[in-house]
Formats: sequence, structure tokens, C-alpha cells
Amino acid sequence: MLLVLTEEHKTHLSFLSTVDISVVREFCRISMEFIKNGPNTKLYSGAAQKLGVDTATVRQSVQGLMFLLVESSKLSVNEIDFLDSIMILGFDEELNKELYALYEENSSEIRSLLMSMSLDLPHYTDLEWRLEAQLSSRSLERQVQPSILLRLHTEEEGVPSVHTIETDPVNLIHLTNSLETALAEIKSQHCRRIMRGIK
Amino acid sequence: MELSGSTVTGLQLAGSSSIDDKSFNRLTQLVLQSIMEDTDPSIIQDDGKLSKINQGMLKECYSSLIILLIEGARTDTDTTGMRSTLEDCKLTPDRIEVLVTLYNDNKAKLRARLGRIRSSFPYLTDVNWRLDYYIKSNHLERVDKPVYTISLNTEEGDGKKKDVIFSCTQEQLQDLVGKLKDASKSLEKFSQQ
Repeated sequence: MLLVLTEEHKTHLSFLSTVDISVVREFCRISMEFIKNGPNTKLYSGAAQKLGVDTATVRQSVQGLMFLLVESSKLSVNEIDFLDSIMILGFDEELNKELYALYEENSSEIRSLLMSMSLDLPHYTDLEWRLEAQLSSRSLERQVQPSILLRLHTEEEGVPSVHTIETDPVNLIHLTNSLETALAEIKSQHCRRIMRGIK
Repeated sequence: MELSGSTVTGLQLAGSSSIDDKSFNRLTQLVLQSIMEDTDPSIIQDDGKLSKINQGMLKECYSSLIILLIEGARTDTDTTGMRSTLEDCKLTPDRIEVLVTLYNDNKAKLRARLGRIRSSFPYLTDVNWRLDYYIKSNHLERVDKPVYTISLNTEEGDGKKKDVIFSCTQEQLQDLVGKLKDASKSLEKFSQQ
């Protein structure tokens, strides 16, 4: 899958071919900082001063680089597609290779960041259980009633929540069996076929 | 089994000759039905066979018999205890026999009924699951991961139904099932002891 670079994006990136590889590496580091923590304008002006260009050029090329890394990580492009996509920029081979190395180095981190940005459903984090026998209650003395307390921990958008649920042996075994069936379903012929087909 | 003074008076009334044997048998059946099916107490007023009896007295007997059966079942009183309580109330031997038989035949059911009156955390009644394949999102292409959505159906003390819905990955579900299996296994071990 090839990346489609807009004209504007190309102009922003073209600055990279005029500077040393070490500067590109530094820009890449700033881009990763940007992705993780947001923009740091002080860095732009510092770098612009050192290189003797205006701040806007630095900002645009850092953002261009960032966009390139994010887009290619989003599509999870392979080496050939990545190199083919940036060929259009007309950089020399060394710079192309350096860009690919930077992409390869950072793509898994960018993908996990993108993953955490995706819509987050309440999801399972932990389960605690406790086995009890109810011995007596206001309405019934002298009883032996096995009961299981479950405490389910979930998390949504980083906010943890807890659900306390009580159940009896029959329901516990039903729950366990149902979820075991669900787990086994993933290995079924149907699921494997579809998943292979989509990949 | 300990009964209050007014209950004892009610039982003495039920055992007295102001209520004939037929009405007494009918009344005990209605008492049992009231407890088991949670019927409206007005059934005793509407019952043709009991219409000859003074309404005030009927109500007193009815409530005392209900207390007798529930209190007996609640405290797990045995036949001997039940018999001696009734003897203390000066009931005739054949009426004592009717009540003791009724109590013995239905004690398990009465206790099960009382066992259902309980305060509890949301109670698990059923589970539903769904398996999806997460292909891509606006942020990320080629995610390609299976995702489970699990819904635990629970019922709260007042009968309100509530579902706990959460998603989990294959690894998370494995963890969950592992822990549930641990719980089931220790339950099994415990029940064999």
C-alpha cells in the first residue's frame, strides 16, 4: 500500500534534503516528542537559529516528518512500499534509507499510541473471587448455601471501575463453560477462515 | 421455638371448638398457600367454607398459623419441638397431628421459600458473548485482532436487571477463564470434602 503525499507535504519535507543526516535524526526525535507530548515551540526556534533558517521552515519540516511517520505507521507499510512512496520526494538514497530506519524504529511505538487513541470500550483488567457458605440470615437460620463473590475490574479511557457480583455454583459453572466455548470459537474453522481472508 | 403471647392466643383460638374440623383443615391449606404463593390475605374472607366463622377471629387464627409455620421453618424446629409448642397451646391431639403433618410435608419448601428472601450483591443470572474481528479504525489500519464483548446479566435485590458489559482481547479472556476455572475447581474440591 503506497502513501499518498500532498504537494504541500512534499514542500515541507523537501527541507530535509538540504541538511545533514544528523539534523534529520534530531528532527525525527523532535517529531516523536511531538507525537508523545505535543509541540515544543522552544525547540523549533533553537534549531532554526542553529541552522540559520526561519522557525516556520523547521516547524513545517518537523511536522511533515511526523505526518510521514504517523501515516506510514497507520497503514503499516512495508519497506518496499515506504521507499517507493518517498521516492517521489527525490531524496538521495542515504536519506531514504535513514528515513526508513527511523520509521522502522518508531512505528511500533506510534502504532501503540494510535491504538490507545482509538475508541476505548470498557475492558477487562482483572477478576477476584471468593468462595463462601451462607450459614444464616434473618429469614432463615441454620442453612448452608454455597455462594461465590466475584469482583470484576474493568477500565474505560483509563478510568477503572469495579463490579461486585454474587453467584451460586450452578451459575459459576455455566459462566465458566460459556466463556470457555467463546474462547474455543476463535480456533473454529469458520473464524480461522475469515481471519485469514481479511489478512 | 418461642412465640409471642398474641400468637399463642391465636393458636388457642384456632384449636378451640368455635372452629369446626372441616374449617380448620381448610384454613391450614389456605395458610400454606398464602406463604408459598404470596397470595393476598383476603382469600380467607372470600372463602365460602369459612364464611360462618367470625371474621375477626378468623384473621387472628390465620395470622397466628402463618407465624407458626414461618417461625418453625425459619428456626429449623423439628417435629418434637413443633408438637410440644402446639401442646403448650392446648390444641387437641388430632389438630396437632394435622399441623405437624402439614409442617413436616412442607418444611423443605418453606425453608427454600425463606431462603429466597435475601439481600445480595447483583446476582449473576446469565452470560452472553460475542466475537468480533477488529479490522481497522480511523486511527489505525491493519489492526486485525479478535475482540470479545461479554455481557454479564445480573439481577439486583429488588428484581431490577442490570447488564455488566465489557470487552476483552483473547489473552484477557484466557486470563478470565483461567481464574473462573480456578474458582470452579476449588468449589468442586470443597464439595467433595
